[in-house]
Amino acid sequence: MIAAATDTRTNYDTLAAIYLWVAGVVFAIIALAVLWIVVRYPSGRDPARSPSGPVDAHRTEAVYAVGLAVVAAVLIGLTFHHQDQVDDLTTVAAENPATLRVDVIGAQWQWRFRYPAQRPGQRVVEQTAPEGTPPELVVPVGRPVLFSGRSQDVVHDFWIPDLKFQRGIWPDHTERWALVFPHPGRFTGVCAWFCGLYHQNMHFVAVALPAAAFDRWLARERGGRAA
Amino acid sequence: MSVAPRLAPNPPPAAPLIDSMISVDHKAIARRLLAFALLFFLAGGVMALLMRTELAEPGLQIVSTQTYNALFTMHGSTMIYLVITPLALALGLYLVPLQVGASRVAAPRVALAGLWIFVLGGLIMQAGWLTVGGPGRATWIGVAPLSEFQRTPGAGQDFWIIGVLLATLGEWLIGMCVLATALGRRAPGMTLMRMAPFTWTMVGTTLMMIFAFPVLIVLMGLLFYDRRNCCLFDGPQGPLTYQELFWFYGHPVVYVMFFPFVGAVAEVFSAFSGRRLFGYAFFVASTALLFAALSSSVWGHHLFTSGRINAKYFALTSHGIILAAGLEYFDLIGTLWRGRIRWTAALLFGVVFLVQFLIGGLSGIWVASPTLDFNANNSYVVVGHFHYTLFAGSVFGAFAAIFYWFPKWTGAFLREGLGKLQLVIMFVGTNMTFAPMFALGEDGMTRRIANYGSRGWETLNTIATVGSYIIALGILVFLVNLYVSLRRRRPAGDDPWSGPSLEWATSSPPPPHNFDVLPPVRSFAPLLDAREAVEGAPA
Repeated sequence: MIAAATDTRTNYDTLAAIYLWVAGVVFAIIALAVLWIVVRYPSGRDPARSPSGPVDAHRTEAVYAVGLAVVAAVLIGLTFHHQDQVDDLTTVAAENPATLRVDVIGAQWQWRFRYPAQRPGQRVVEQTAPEGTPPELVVPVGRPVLFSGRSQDVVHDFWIPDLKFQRGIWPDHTERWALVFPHPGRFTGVCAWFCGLYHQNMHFVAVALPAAAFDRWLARERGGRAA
Repeated sequence: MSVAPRLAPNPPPAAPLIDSMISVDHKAIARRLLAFALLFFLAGGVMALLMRTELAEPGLQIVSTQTYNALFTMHGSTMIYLVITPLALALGLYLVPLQVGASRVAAPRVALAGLWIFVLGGLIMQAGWLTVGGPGRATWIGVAPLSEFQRTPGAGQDFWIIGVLLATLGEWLIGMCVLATALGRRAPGMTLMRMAPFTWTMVGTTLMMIFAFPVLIVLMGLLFYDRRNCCLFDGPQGPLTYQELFWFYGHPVVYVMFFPFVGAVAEVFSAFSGRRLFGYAFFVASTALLFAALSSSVWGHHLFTSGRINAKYFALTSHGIILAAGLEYFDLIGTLWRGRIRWTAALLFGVVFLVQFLIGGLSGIWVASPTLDFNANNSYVVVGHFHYTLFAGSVFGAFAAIFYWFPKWTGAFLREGLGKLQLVIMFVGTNMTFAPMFALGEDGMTRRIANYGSRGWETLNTIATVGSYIIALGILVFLVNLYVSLRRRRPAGDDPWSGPSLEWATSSPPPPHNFDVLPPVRSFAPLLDAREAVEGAPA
């Protein structure tokens, strides 16, 4: 079942650790080499010594270039694999009619979340809040949620830092993505793309409930509120 | 009597100021471009200090949100359009004709027009501060549809658009003159593969400009039109099209603001290790050709989080930069290897450039991965990343260039002691300012916000703010150095550093026609050839 799908945070953390290690090792090697050379070969130490060594080493440099290409290829391969995890989640979630759908509507400077009818006769649930107050995006833990994002004015960007995921919200296009919330709790969400005067206040809170509690919440919202 | 003055060989200038403003000597044009870039640099720096002061603690203390939005828009726009790009071009305009042994730049009147069109554009952009609604405030990319009239009304945004258009047009004209000089005005014996490393980086730079800059110029024209009409960028596909076009300029320009400083540092390393550039052919192929070619195929990585581009394709091309940049580093370090290294201010600025830029480069590989960019994009990770490339990298490289070539430009040295003091101060300030940003961004701090609320980010932000004032102190030391060095000149002579390339074979500053006599050119380091011939003779 898709309930076991990898969440974006685990996926990110795995890849980030590899990139961080590679970057750290490369930085250490180059920085130490540069500092060692600069300290090792000052002109004052042995004034008679003339600069020496070949000015070219085509074969060495070609071998080194191949090494660089291998490093790049490995990183690309890893990135493709982890990017597939993110993208596949959306594909799989979209294929399953039972996946919870949530519409994300961005407008200067507030978010709105709409739970469309997934069966005939179901009531649409809207999560809104007055401007300046973050609205609540209520979601289940461990089950993929399929989002459809659209902006009513300028470009916005749906970012949940704790899930290490963001996606642009466009006025001319409906963008879809799926997320899995790995544990219950409150996740801060922000608009990441600068969208005008009160951009910095455009927040939301994702409230992840255990599956059973979420189902009760949604049933209550769908049935309870008089239209 | 009425005819005689016209026949006089050198009539005294009737208006010295006007005469110098319309001089078609590439060195005079370049000096003015450099001076304007430095003035804009100080203005952009003040904007940065205002922002950092606001960010020292959460909440709003010294500016309104509206002003803050104007500040970050204008800081980015000033530094990119009006400081680092023209700084790079000023170096190229001054040095490329000298390095290829030309008596003048190609199409000097075009270069002169470029200078004043650029200046006009810069002043118009800054004039936005005088308008009622304030200057441009829709980010340095002028993102549509936010920059449309109904979303960002007022003349300031129009001033921004016209300013960017003119500044970029001026830069493009100057760049084309530099390219034409390198390709068409080389001295006898100066084949393409004997051009100095710096000249090659300028060729790579200007090749990118051919394709990238006109896209922005046209885009600004369209945006200006669209603000009064409809619906280029606020209709279907409009917002995406705007960003695709913008980044088709916006990524190559990142390398326009980087290559010339790599070239400058290559010259500095060569001069101060007493060696010629290591791996010249690889350096040329990787920087001027592979790097420049890749620059036009990576723009989509700015749109990874859009969901509307082929992320894998742009991840592939962006990781290709590893190859180009890796070769460049290999050649720069190889040049120092077993040299006779002189610890001048220029060399030390170059070394710090190399190490600090590495942080910018490695974090660049980080954001080249869409999976990682899904968190880093629009966060302070990106702010840290590009300041490590543009400030910790390019600006330090620019100071290496300034300390190295100042004697050529003026005939006098900058003070070495003050230069090293400036380097230490700027090194501390730079890393205090920009290193904390990686942690802040990773933790979820969004860029372009004046108030970050109570999320536990005060300490790191305060450190960054203190760091920014330390940077300002370093810049102050430079201004003092500039003043002292020009007031109490320490004459440098024609070739104080034993430089490798042709600009050191003429007087300092060079005469209007650049060279009285050109030495023979048999390699890319003709002056080293001459010295080695002399040194080798007795043996």
